[in-house]
Amino acid sequence: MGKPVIQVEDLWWRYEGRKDWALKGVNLEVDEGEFVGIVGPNESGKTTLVMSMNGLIPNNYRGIMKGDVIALGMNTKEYQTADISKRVGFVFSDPESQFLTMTVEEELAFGLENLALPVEEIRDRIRWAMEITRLEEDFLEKPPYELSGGQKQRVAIAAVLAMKPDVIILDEPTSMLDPIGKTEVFNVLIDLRKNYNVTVIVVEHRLEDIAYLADKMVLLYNGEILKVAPPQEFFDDIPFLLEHYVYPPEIMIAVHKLREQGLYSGKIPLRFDEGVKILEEVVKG
Amino acid sequence: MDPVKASAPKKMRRTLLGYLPVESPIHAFHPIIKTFFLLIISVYPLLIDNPEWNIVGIVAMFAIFFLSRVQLSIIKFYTTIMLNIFWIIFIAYTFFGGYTPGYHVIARWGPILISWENIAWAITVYLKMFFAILVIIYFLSVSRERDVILGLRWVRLPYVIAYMIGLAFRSIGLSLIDFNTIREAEKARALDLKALPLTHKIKKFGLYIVPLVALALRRTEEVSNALDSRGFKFTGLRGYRRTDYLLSKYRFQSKDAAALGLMLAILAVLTYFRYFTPLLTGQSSALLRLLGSWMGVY
Repeated sequence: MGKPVIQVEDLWWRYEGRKDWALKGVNLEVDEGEFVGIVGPNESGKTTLVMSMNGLIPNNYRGIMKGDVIALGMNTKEYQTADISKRVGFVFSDPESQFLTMTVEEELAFGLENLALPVEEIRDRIRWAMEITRLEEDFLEKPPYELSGGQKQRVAIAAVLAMKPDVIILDEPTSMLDPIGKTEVFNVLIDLRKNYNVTVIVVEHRLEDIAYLADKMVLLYNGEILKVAPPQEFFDDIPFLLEHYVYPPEIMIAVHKLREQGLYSGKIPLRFDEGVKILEEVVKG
Repeated sequence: MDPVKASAPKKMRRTLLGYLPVESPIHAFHPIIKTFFLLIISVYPLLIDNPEWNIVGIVAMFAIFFLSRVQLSIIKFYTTIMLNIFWIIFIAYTFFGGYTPGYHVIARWGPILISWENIAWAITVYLKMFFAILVIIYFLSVSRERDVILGLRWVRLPYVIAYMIGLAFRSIGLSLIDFNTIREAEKARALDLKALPLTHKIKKFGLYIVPLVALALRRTEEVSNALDSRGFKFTGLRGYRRTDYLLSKYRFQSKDAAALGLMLAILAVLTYFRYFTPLLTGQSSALLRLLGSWMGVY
């Protein structure tokens, strides 16, 4: 992996008017090209943590901040969100509320116009981003709010991707989508992982999809990072995850139970098909 | 005709009032032409008092609707409004239009005098308004928010102002979505304002407004975050110029210049007729004279 692109150093954050700290001494380093999955129960501080990575915190929210977040060499305390965002893209969970214009084309062009890129390059980048996110040419003239949930979120991802940021943060990008929409979005993430050397940080509850994509998994609980590990190691301790309200895929739990009963001694499978294979072998004896 | 082609649904493009076929000839013009259409043509009825000329304008508008392939059913939605406007104007001018010595009184009910001049004026004003409303409906039927924004950018309005107007359009859409969500949630809990009498509707309206305002505040925060996250600064881009990609997609062509020239030429002619000839006045109207003679005034 490459050099660190995001460095969170002893970060404490408390929202104005709240008694409790949302983040308590968080330390995290994300390297160039890494795919990082952040998991944790509700109210554990996941959104707060990722919002601190592109400067939304502390610039757009009132509260008390201790520690530092350095995004691509920019200390978020010293740079405006708009400046950091040119290199650290952010996709929000609600596809509806992140649209700023009335057609898909305007939506994709908006960030690029802010970058003051030449017209030809904007045109090329729009085409490129649409290709990656598998959006059809017909969509360009459509209002984004007329699309399906999955299409909307792909437009949101395309709008961020087109800016070619070094880091893309996705905050629960599938939480408001139906199963088809979730799959559409994950297909885009898989493509990004395979074919583009972009750093991706995803907050996600759908662990069955994130487990095999991620280079690194982060467990956030009650504002603290409890575990940072590669997926294989992260999912190895299933009871620890369950204890902290993180529910691994059923197939992992099933294999873990076989391991507890001494019927299997290998690794926890990260993919469904790997798990099925293990179950078959155990059944066959 | 190819049966597949014949049965294929028409490709439509969303507009402010509905949908317009993609092949509508109006799309061939620069978006600014639509804005100019609204700004220039809506002045015509202001210059014309003569009902016949306003009727010509109304007929021309229907022809433009037809040529632009705007579904005329759109106008049907506004029939009730048009009728209401007619009755309001008719009652206001006929019964409460006042009296000036020399008016031809047709009937008298106590202090209320019904004069021919007030009836004639009601007809004149209504036809002016009908013409103007058709112009507005046409504009809304063929324009998208994007056309309005492009128009504003084309006249070199500062980007932030043009964008704020665009964001206002977007906010209307978001508020409508939120309003529907709240309404569905209220319905799911057995509150349906449709079934209630008006007084109860007004009383219960707070049940919609309070969550709507709360949601609007949340949306403000979300939109503000989304703006910052896409590199937008209200202070502008210091040191370099923001690219206008969308505007670069449109070129003001000779046909646009011709359309604009035609609209301005008609405006100039109407202005001349209005101020230097009696042609557009109510007194020159054959229709009003005919109606007047039918009522025994002339």
